Amino acid sequence: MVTPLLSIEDIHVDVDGNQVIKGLSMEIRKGEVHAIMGRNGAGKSTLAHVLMGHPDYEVTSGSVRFLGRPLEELEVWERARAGMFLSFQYPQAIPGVQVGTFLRKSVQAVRGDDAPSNKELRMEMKKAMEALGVDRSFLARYVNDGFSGGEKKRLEILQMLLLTPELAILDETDSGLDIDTLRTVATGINSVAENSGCLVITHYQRLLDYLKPTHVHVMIDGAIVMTGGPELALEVEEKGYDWLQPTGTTGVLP
Amino acid sequence: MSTPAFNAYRSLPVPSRSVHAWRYTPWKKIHPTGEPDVIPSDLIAATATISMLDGTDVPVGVSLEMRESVLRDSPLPDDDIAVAFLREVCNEHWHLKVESNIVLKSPLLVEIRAGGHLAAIETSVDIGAHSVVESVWTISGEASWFGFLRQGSIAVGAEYCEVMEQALASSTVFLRGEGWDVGRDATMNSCILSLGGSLLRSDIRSRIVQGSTIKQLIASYGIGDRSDDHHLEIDHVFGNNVSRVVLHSACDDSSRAVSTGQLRIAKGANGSNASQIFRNLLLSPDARAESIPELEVLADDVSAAHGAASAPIDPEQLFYLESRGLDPDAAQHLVVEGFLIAAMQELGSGKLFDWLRGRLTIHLDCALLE
Repeated sequence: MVTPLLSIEDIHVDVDGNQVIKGLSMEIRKGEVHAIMGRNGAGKSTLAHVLMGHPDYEVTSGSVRFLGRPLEELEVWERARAGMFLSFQYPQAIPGVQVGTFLRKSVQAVRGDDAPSNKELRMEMKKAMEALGVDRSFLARYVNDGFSGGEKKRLEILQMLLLTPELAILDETDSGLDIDTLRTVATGINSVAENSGCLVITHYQRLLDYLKPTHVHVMIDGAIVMTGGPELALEVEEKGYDWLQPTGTTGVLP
Repeated sequence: MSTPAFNAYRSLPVPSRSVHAWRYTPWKKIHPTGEPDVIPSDLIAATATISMLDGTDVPVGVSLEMRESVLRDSPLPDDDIAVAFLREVCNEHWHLKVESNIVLKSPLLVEIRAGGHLAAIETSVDIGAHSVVESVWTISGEASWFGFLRQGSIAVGAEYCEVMEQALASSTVFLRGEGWDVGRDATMNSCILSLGGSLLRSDIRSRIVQGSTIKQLIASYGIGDRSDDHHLEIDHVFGNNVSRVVLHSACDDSSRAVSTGQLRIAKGANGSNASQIFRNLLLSPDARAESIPELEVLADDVSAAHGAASAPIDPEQLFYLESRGLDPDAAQHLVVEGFLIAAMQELGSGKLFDWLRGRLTIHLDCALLE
């Protein structure tokens, strides 16, 4: 049996002494797109940060394996080099660091011996930027410094395209995007999803109109309360989350 | 010796820490022998050369000549002990002159090299009226002590932009005094990249008049127990002008950055627009930074602002960069590089900015490999 890209088994996570994730399990395999939906504060972004290795989050029990390796063995940068990518909900500004420099260093770090030459990278950048409708002048700007919300999300997806991850985690990539940008960003995600696994965290069905989730999970109060196919997202959009308020067990749609 | 400068130096008291400009680096510490009464006789004159950055010939109307030391009116006070000392020990005076109405297509390259045990140099810069000049200055060498005195005049309507890479040996003690006059409707943009030296004290003072603009940008990077002390003063003698001071210091290990400043807007200098910003990035628990910007405003209709901030590196920035595969050292270096480059961004010359940024990148990349 093929090893899952990501295997989460009953993890519990504390932040500042408060339990935010309370027993969560899931598996993601190559070619699968998993969407996690849930209200604010459900623990969705916490999960994303835990997977990427944010030092403020402590996994108190359970286990996570990435490509068969225990995740706790890997530092943040090692996870990135192993093929994990997190598209941030609120990407950090790095004043004084040009996007072009940042992309080059990231690609060299993540793709290592397989990194393209400078000329090849320029070609890859050009192609990816055209696909995302990003102007060339983007490369000379400082990373996320003075960027609009849409520009930040485009840069996140541009990085994802260039870093060619095994597993892409997208934390509310759709928030604050107009419909045209959303469509463009979704196209970028779809192109990566063909050859990797995706974990898409979102509040709304909107992004899922343009992606093809293979699995939809609803997360409430730090746990997945329902898992289903794309139809679950539509049902949540229609009914909201109240009907999924946990009764003590995780449900699976028939 | 009985030169006026010598007499001036001997007659001056050692400044106390109550003097704003001398609050952090005592004269005794920056003096080449540590004994204020001693004026070393074994100083070697540093060398200065001029060329064009693009390798072309230095054009007619531009010259660098050695002259006898000439004292003249300068924003640097005669009664400052460091200025008087530098005037005493600088035996040679290099005069960079650009005639009026010269527009240079390529930046000048002025290279200063401080060899020997103790070295010093006095230079002056004269940019003629309505000339447009860019220059790159490099200061290098292995002298254990280097004194650098410079005074400059930017004549009416001239535009002068310079960058300076200070890359002295890591053990050098560096004493600098600079005084600049920026004439009517003239512009001076300068950026210093301070990388070398162990103990450094710079006193840079400028005067601006009607219609003039000055930008003084400084980026300093300290490692080990390096101490880099900048005192920056700008006098708005008349109004309707602009001054901007930006100093970014990144301090690693047990290094220290000091920035004291004074913006002075004279009575009646209305329409002055002045700002002074000191930012310190502390990369280690043992790194220290002190910043004291001061304003003295005697005019009514002005815009004046000052600010100082010291903070450790933002862990969220590091997390973001590490999530892109950069190891912790590489992530920190990138943040530091960005922080220092951000100090330079108002330079106004893409060519000089790129040159200086390239030098910074090389320096940091080398540091990363050590």
